[in-house]
Amino acid sequence: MPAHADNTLVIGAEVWSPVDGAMVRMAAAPSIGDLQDRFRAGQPEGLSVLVENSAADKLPTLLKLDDADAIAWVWPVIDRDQVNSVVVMYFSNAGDVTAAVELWSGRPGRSELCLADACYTGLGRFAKLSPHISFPKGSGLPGLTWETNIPQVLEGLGTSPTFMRATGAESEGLGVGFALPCIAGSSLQAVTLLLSGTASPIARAYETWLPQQRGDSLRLARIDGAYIASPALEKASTQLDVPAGDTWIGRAWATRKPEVVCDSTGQSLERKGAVEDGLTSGTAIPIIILDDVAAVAVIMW
Amino acid sequence: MKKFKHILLKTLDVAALSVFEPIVRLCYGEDPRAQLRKIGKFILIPIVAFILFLGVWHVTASGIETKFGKMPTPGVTWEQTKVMVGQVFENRRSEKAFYVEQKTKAQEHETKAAQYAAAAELPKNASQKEAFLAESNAQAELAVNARSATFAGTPTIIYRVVHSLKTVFLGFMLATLIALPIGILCGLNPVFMAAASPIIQIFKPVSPVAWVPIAMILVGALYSGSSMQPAMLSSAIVVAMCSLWPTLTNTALGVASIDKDHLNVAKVLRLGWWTRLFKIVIPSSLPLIFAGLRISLGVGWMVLIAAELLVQNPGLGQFVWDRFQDNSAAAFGQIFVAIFIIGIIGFFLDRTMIILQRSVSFDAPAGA
Amino acid sequence: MSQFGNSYVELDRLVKAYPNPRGEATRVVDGFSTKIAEGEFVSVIGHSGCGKSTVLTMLAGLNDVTSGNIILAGKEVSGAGPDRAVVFQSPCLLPWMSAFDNVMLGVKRCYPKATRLERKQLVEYFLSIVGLGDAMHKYPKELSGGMQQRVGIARAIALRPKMLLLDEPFGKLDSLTRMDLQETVLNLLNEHRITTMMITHDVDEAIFMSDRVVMMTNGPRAKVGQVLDIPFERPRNRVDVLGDEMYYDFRGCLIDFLEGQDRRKHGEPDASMPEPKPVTKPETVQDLMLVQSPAEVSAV
Repeated sequence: MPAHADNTLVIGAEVWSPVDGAMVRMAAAPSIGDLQDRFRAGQPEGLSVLVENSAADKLPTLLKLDDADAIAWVWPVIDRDQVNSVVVMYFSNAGDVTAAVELWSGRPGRSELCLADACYTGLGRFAKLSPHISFPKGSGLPGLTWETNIPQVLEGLGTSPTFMRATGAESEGLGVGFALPCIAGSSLQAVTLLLSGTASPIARAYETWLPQQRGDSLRLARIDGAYIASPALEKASTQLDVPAGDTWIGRAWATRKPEVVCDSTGQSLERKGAVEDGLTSGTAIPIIILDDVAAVAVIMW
Repeated sequence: MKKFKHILLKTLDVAALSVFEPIVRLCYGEDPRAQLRKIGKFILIPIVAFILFLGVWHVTASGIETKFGKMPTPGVTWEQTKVMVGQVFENRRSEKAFYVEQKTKAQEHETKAAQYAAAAELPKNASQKEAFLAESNAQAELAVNARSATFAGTPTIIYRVVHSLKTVFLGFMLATLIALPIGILCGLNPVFMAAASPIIQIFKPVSPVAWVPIAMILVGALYSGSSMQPAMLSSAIVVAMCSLWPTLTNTALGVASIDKDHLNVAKVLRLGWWTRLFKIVIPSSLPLIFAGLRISLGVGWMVLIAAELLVQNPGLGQFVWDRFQDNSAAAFGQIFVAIFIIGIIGFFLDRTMIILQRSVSFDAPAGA
Repeated sequence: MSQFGNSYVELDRLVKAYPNPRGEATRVVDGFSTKIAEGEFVSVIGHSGCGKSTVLTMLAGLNDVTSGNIILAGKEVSGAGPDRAVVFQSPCLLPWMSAFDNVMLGVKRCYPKATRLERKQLVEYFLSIVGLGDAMHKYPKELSGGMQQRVGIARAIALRPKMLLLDEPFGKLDSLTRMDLQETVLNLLNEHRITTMMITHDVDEAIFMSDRVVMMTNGPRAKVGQVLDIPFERPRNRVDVLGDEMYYDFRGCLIDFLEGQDRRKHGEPDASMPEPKPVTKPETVQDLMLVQSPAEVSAV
């Protein structure tokens, strides 16, 4: 099963932080290699402009790069009124894959979330229809994320009653979805949906972690997760919590800033089964509502 | 021709006499076999049944001996019918004769008055002149009396029928005037309905006979007019007391069960209370109101006979009572005639109401 | 919801609850929200009994709102009124009045200052634009179902309403008459731009007529499931709409949704497919979490 590792669409992730009024790349999962240069080349103003715009607008954005057969997903982490970091993830867009990255946001005069931008690969009617569809609070995966303000993991998209576009997803081979709310203060800015088939997953693991009081200590507990072709990781992850502040996931919660970890052995994921299943990298993104980190979204590949 | 047939059929339909439809169709040669079969089934058989009824009546009546003599058979009843019709004509003749006689009398008196007046002109002594004038005036007065005298024969059956009809309509109008507004209020307002309900429930089942003394006493105490006989007014009140309930309950039901869609129309248009009442509530409950009126008139007609019998209102009820007091076989036969008259009039009243009811029912299928 | 700006019509978290025999409240409609721009035509589609008509009657003011707000042209709506004209599935004509008088009833109410002649002309105008110029003085029982519905539409338009509410207006008509009337209504709306909400269960009707189709989940506790924008240009003509490459995609989208609702309704006790529960805040939130619960603070 570990052979699937090559199929994941995530290429790499970066964290940018403001330094002296400009966004600077602070951490990165390696192996991105010359992709950054190609992105820089494909975007006349440079990727940093995109990151800065995203930070200024407090809105996530997508950049499609045809030359590189890749897309960049830019996600601001908003703490109170400040963007404390911006996560950039690169996804491969090449070959025979079935996947979608969607940005849903509000529109004036509408009470629903509408599709603001999206990148579809290997999808037909699903891609054609989605721009015309919108979801009210509480309905569909975007609406549910809006209502709960917590990252949502959804498996079996084709049969799920939660996923309103299930019939389309089923016929076009989408299987797993991960939805993240982008919140400024307490109001929803946008929702990102990462949807993919199990044969070519965007990532190998999606998890939602919530802070919980256990006895005397505050711990961070894994509430929900989806694992693609990673049985050992799945087995090791079902009942999992860490003291607040421990491990890279706990750090993301404590520091209120995203974490990116990567090494070729997979040791830095600090998770049993990760090495065995061949996972090497991960991103932990804190979801901050008003003063509190309400959840941590974890993506591993 | 064809148009005439259509009109004829439609008339029969509206009059609820569609039983006779096959005859009309037969006359126009429309599928004679089917029409004949229908005539056989729905006209011939009822006629046969009636003849059978007369036969049974005849046989049964012949075997019953009463203190008035034999119970009247159909034959006797028919004889008495002829007698009564004869009386009507007889009465009319004597009435005519009476007025002719009165007229002659009046003319005689007038002539005399004129003669005395002329005599008074001739100058004689003053006292004679005065006597002549007095005589002239007396004659003139006699003439006026003779002209204004009314025929006072025994009331005929026609007079009684007319009087009964007048009384029943008076009572019916009274009942309608009371029942309609109360019924509408009850239908519109559940609180009003709840308030009125116990009163209605208690008085509805009261027998007409029980109202008679009350009506008589009250009319005696409160009515001092002379335009109407007190007996007639009492009978009408009894009729009203008994016949207002069907109209009241049907009106309330009709108003309360207005099609919700129609009320929604009123709501959307925000129609005022009166507009809503007259444009929507009343038109839409008219069929039920008329159904109530029809029952009311039927009840009223039934009640009337009993009331007249007790109050001595000179209508059909009193006629039955008078004949009963007469103690003769002939009178016994005339009671039977009265029964038929009452029944037939009741039937025609009902038909009239059916026609009225149909003419206001908007969702009846468009005519044949 | 004001975070996304204001609209001509706003239905905000409408709830309709009826007491059930056990004395609890059954929520037939549970949190129906949508916004409609001025002049927009929005259809509400869903399975029968899902509460879509309840939403419309609440908007019409013919059904009390248990909770939630309805705002039309900046004003809170309460009770029925001629600013929201309704056309029901059955024409609801007053059978004791001719077509002319039925329309006149509304005209009199909405043009109190017009002269007799002006009113007469108005009624004649509205009846003629629905194609009843020759049958004005007929009584409802003398008119076919389609013609009766035309009178109903004329009566509604004659009120010059701010909003037109159509409750399955063509539901009882045969398919030819139905198509005829759909076009009549569309032509009418091209001329008199009236904000319209239509309840329907006919997928093709919804696509052909609307700017937007609001799909309702199955009741009880029905609400908006998803919304589909129909970007076809107006004035529309049936041949062009049917010929558009997106038409069958839209149709598929609506049918998929309705079938999905069906599956949910009938296939729920299927043990092989447990319904995944969304992650929300734990029930006993005070015990478990030090931080303020997100759902609590996000109640904006």
